[in-house]
Parts: sequence; C-alpha cells; structure tokens
Amino acid sequence: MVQFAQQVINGMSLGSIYALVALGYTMVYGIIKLINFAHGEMYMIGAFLSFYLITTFKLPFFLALLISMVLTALLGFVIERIAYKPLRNATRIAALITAIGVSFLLQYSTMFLVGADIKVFPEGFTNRTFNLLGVGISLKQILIFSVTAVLMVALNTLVNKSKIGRSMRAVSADKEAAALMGIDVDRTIAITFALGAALAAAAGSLVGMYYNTISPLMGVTPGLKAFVAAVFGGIGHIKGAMLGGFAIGLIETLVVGVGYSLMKDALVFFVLIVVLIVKPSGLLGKGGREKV
Amino acid sequence: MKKLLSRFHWPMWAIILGVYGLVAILIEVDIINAYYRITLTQIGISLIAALGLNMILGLSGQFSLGHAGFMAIGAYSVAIVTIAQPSVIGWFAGMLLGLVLTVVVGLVIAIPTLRLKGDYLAIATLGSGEIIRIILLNMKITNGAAGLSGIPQFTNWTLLYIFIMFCILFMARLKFSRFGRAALSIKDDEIAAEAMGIQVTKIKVMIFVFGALFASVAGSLYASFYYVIKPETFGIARSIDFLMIVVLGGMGSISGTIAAAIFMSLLTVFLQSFAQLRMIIYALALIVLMIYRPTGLLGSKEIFVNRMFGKKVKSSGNSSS
Amino acid sequence: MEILRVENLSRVFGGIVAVADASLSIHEGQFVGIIGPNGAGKTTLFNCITGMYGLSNGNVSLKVDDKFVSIGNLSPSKIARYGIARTFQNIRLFQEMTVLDNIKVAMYHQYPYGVLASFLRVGIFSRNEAMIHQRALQWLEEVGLVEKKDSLASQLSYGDQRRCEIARALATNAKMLFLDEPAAGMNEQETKNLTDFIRYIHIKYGLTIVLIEHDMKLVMSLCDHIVVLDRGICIAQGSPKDIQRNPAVIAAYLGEEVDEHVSH
Repeated sequence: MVQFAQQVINGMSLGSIYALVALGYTMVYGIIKLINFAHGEMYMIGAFLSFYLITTFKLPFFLALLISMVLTALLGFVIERIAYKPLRNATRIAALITAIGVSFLLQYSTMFLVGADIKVFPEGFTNRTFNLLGVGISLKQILIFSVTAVLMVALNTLVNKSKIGRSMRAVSADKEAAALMGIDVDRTIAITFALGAALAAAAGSLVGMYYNTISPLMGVTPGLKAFVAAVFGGIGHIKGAMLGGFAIGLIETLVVGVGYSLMKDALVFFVLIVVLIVKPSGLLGKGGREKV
Repeated sequence: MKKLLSRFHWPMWAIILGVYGLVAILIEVDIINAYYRITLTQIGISLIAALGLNMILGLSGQFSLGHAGFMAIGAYSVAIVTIAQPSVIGWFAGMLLGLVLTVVVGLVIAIPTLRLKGDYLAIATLGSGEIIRIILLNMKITNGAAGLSGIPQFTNWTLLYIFIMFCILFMARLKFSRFGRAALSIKDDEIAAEAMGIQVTKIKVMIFVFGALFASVAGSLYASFYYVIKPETFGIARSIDFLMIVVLGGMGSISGTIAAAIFMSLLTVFLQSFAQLRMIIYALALIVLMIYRPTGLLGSKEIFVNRMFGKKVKSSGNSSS
Repeated sequence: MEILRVENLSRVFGGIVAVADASLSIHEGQFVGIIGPNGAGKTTLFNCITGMYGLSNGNVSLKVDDKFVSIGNLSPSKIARYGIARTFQNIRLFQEMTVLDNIKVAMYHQYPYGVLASFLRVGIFSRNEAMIHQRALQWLEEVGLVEKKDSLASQLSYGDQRRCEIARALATNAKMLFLDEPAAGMNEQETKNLTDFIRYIHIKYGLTIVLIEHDMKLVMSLCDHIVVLDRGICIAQGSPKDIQRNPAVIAAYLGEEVDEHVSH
C-alpha cells in the first residue's frame, strides 16, 4: 500500500510535466486543428534556456524559469508567424509536415549550437525528502506540484476571465465569425502558440531540475507522450489535457513499478491507439461528424 | 505474332535493361567501387520504401509515420532466417516470412487506425511503428538492443534492381487502374468517394498494406546488405527520411520519388561528415517546400514513367491526374 | 410501384431535432421534390437516406430485386451500390482529378477486375478498362463535357461542375438520383438549361429522381410529387396542385415565400 502510494506520488509529478506540455498541444489543436509536432522542442529549448541562465548568468532557479518561459513564448510566437501562418489555408497534411520540419529544425539547430551531448543541470536545491506516513515526497516534487498548480490556475483564469482568453475561445469556436466580431485572429493564434510554448518551457525547466540532465533530443518522447495525454483527455479541452497528463504519468510509473520498464513507451502508444479507436474524442471530448 | 510484338514496348525494355547493364558493367570494372556500391544500395532501398510510403500518402492520401516499422519486420525476418539457413532459398524464405508478417501486422494496424483522419492517423501510425520497434527491443529472438549481426550478404545489384523495377511497375500499374482512381478519389474527397460506392476503408487498408509490403521488401534487402541490424535503425528518423523523399518528389508521383530518392541519398553521402547540418537543411527544405509548393516538386505528375509502365499507349485519352 | 419507403425517420443532433418522424413513399419513375423553409431538415433527410448520417429512429427501405431491404444505417457506399446516387449542395467533385477520371471513379464496381489483373495487364483488365473508358465518354457526351474531359474538375465553370456531378452520379448506374439544390447559385438561363437537362435524363433513363430545391418555379415544373418539410416535420405531400392549395403549406411558407421572391 505504501509502495503504491509512493508510485502514485512519483506518477503525479511525472504527470504534472506531461500535463503542462499537453496543454500546449491541446490549445493549439483547439484553435487551428494542428498537431504541433514541434511542441516537444519548446520543452527542450525551455530547459536549455534555464540551464544557460542558471550556469552562465548565475540566476536563481525561479528567475531563470520565468525568463526562459518568456523567451520560449517569444520563440513560439515567431515560429507561428514564420512557419505556420503561411499555411493557414493549406491542407492538414502540409501543415503537419511543416510541423515535423520545424521540430527537426529545432532539434538539430540546438545540437549544432550546443553539441549533441547530455548536459548536467545544476543542482539548485538540497534534495530533502519529507516523510508522510512512510511515503517519501521530495522537495523537488513539491516544487513541481506547486509550479504546475500555479500555472494551471493562471491559465484557467486567463482563458476564462481575460480578454485574450475570450478571443481564444471565440477563434477556436469559429474563426470567420470571430474575425467579423473584430477579433484579430492571427494575433490570437500566435498568442496561443506563445502561451503553449511558455508552459512547455516551464515543464522543460522543471524536468531539468528534477532529473538533472538535458539534451537536444529530450523533447521527442515526452512530447509524444504529452500529445497522447492531450488526446486521452480530449484534445481541445484544457481540463482534459490536465487530466490526461496525470493519467499518462500514473500509468507509466505504475507499469515501471510492476517491473515492465522497457515496455512503458509501447504501453503509452498502445493506450493512445485504444483511445483513438474506442473514443477518439477523448475522455472529455464530444464527437462530431463532418457536415455534408 | 505481330500483335504480340506491338504490345511489347521496345523503348521501355531498352531503357530498363540498358540501365541495368550499364551499372552492372561499371560495377564489374570497379568504377562503381565498394564505396559507391553502398550509396547505390542505399538509393535502391530508400526508393523501394519511399515508393511504398508514396502509395499510402500520394494515392490514398493517408498519413503514415510508422513506415520504418514494416521495414524492420522485413529486415528481422530475413536476418533470423538467413543466419540459420544461409542460402538464396533461405533469403527468399525469410523475405516471404517478412511479407506474411507484414500483411498480418499491417492489417492489425490499418483496420482500426485508418478510420482516423489525417493527423490522428499520423500519430497512430507513429505509435504503431514505435510499438514494433519496442517489441523488437524486448524480444529474445531479435537479441534486444544489440540487434543481430553476421547476417549473410545476398543483396547485390541484380537482386536490388529486380525489386526496384517490380515495385515501380506495381505502383504505376496500380495507379492507373480502378484501384488507383478509387484511392485518388478518397484522397480528394472521402465523403464523395463513399457516395459513389467506393468502399473507402477497404481501399485505404489495401493501399496501406501494399505500401507496408514495399517497406518490408526494402528491409529484407537492407538486412542482407549491411550485416548488422538494430531496432534503432528503424526508428522515427528513418520514417521521416522516407517522408522527406516522398514530399520532395511529389505526393503521388512515381518519377518524383525516383528522382528524390537518388538526390537525397547522394546528398546524405555528400553531407556525411556534417550530420547535424544535413538534418537542418532537410528540415528547412521541408518547411520551405510546404509553404511554397505543398504538393512537392512534381505534384502528382509523372514524367516518363506513365508512358513506360502505367498506361496503355492506345487509350491516350486516359490522362494522368 | 413503390421503390423507397421512409418510415418514421427521426434525426436528432445533440438535442436539436432536425427531422422528426418523417414518413414518405416514393414510387418508381416518380419525380419527387422536397421543399421547405431554410433549416426545415431537407438536407438532413437526404443525408439520412443516403447513409451520410445514421438514423436516430425509424427506418428506410429500398426495393432491391423485388424485395424491400432495410438501408437505414448502412454505409453510404453500400447504399450507393444498391443504386442510390446523389449530388451535393456544395458540389463535391474530385477537384484534383480530371473530368473523365471523376466519371470513371463512379464506375468502380461495374467493370471489375483484380489487383493481379491490373498488375499483369491481362485481357480482363484491357477489356474492362476499354469499356469504362468508352462508357465514361458516353456519359460526358450526354452532359456535353466531352471536350473538357482532360481538364481538372476544379477548372470547370460552376454550371459545368454541376453537370459533371450529375454525370458522375448517373455513371454509378443508379436507379434513384438524389439532387441537393442543383440550381443553387445559377442564373435564370442556366437554371432553365439545367431543368431541361434533368427532365431529359429523367425520361431517357427512367430514373426516379428526388430533388431538394428552393426555386419554386423549378420544383413545380419538374416534380409530380412534392413533400413539404417544416422544422423537421413532414407537413404535406401530394401533387404540385394540391400543395399549392394546402393551407398548412401556405401558412408555413408565407414568410419564406416573400423572401424567395425578393432573392430571385
């Protein structure tokens, strides 16, 4: 029982990371129906920016995290403008291939600039572990939980209460109608990308801090898993992405806990395929058929 | 007799045999030396696999990012069988085993996932490809991450060329048949195709399995050329390589795929010592291409190939689309 | 003789009833018009009969080989193979294919051959492809598009696209043709040409035609049986004369009728 509770704690902290990344997928998909394959790279770049801000500029972790989020958001904004905006009316396959291109471009440009080797993320915190009825919870995990919670609450407020949130919801419901209502659609889409990128950067920085290692290809697998999480929860739904993130994190940790660590990636994809077949709209999604 | 002769396209056979003979002679006199032979094989293998992907992507408009998974099935089948039974018969038995397994796995993947649309399908196939790779990583018979080595070499120019020609011919003839038209109509407008009585899922599954079979053949040729195979060899990156060839050449174009496979393989050799730079160039090319010419360089047009393989010369009204 | 029977058909979209309890019976060779104000559920009814939408309730049956077969909830392709072809309100040609190939797609099932035959190019392939080619040209001749056979469907003018779509539907060898607002967006002359053309194919091929149309003049001049839908409910059926006199129809149509006159 204690062991199970321990796995749940570990799974939840991993799940928080997936949830943060999944939010970006879900927001972008909700607004322009694009699977942003390059989203995992935002997570990687966020981690690298934090790394350099901490090691080269000697900034404290939280400040580095914030700056990294802002810079990555900017990058997300720019990428949207350069690569995706010209494809607004192109086929979905074209947009998808572009996203794959952007993903590779970011991976290998980073590799080109900083080298392909794994970097050691500085140990910013003394890793204390607190004991709650036999279940260990580390300071780092508490940090992940609190940062995730703060960001999710902030995002929820932003989407539901602010003007830009209203624009986002309007654009995702109906682009043309939103434009007629005087909403700047292009700007709203670009901001959505930026927001998603910022959340991914936070996730990347947290992972760097948690696991202490980062590399230019670190975004690929977590990116895919976060996407699975978004689909699992119901793509396009913010709450679904959070739920899906935690679910995938838990599933993965429990599978490793039972002793099938080599199979954990296969299982996540298996979950994806089952979800897509059984309920493609995800846990919280509603199904719809193309209008004839 | 005269009628029989007129159905026999002399220029086509002259070119097919001419290319074969020329390369065979160049290999014989060692102008194409061991180093260039690797490049040549690389071109051939990428071409076969990319043609398969082009059938899926270019004819039926379905997205697959798990193509390398099927290549792995073909490669491991040949490797396992020929290590135990190093003979030409063993090689063919291995390839056949690979094809059978590919059909089974292809159906298992295709039937449920092909109901999904575009981008969901991409992810589902990517996931399937990864599952295949992870299973290979965990099986005893495939020797896990270390992979298999000491695979006897059977792939030579003749064998490679026969399979290339077979695949080109197969795809060209499929493209200019009722199946090709049905597939293209699905790519164009699935709902309208269905309203015309086309069994959309059946055609999609059929084309997907054919495409997967090409990849399997490519894998079989790969395994018995390079001596060593590992699960890593057949990861996402390789699927993306094929995608790049198809997109560059034009989705649906056989001649485009041939040109792109040659160009890309040469570029790979040329930029071998700058692996990261190569990937950056690929990625930039993909993005620029999608923005300015989303159908690929040739679109679905054909130069040369349709006259050679696809269509009857007589019914010239039957134009390529 | 009855050929299609719709019994108590309902279709609900997330609480909104698009078609409620519609029943109708269509006879062989009949020319049926479905009319009704915007949002009356006409296209939904079409989509339910042709399999594009599932039914929430009720049943549709079609006479196949002298027996009635239930086709409610079958796939559109199965229904098409039973002999129901359709066109779409917003024209759904295969844009990137040639006009000729558009027609050939529709003949997929009529002159079959296997994959192996197409690979080996054996006799059955050549024979059937030649037949497909010849028949497709005949259909294009029928709609006057032969000289445009090699242009892409997307390059055709609007009126030609409508014709091409009808030719494609005919090429499936259908016995029933469902036309969804074929005259939408056409001027008076084009509408007249189209009306003549539809009347011509109705007679020549002995087809049963079901038509959705806003243009009252067109409906009244073509159809011998009219079904009126209003807010998903089938409020009247009968000959054009009966319908014009029906008080329920007049009541439902009054507001709409004025709009129609203004817009045409």
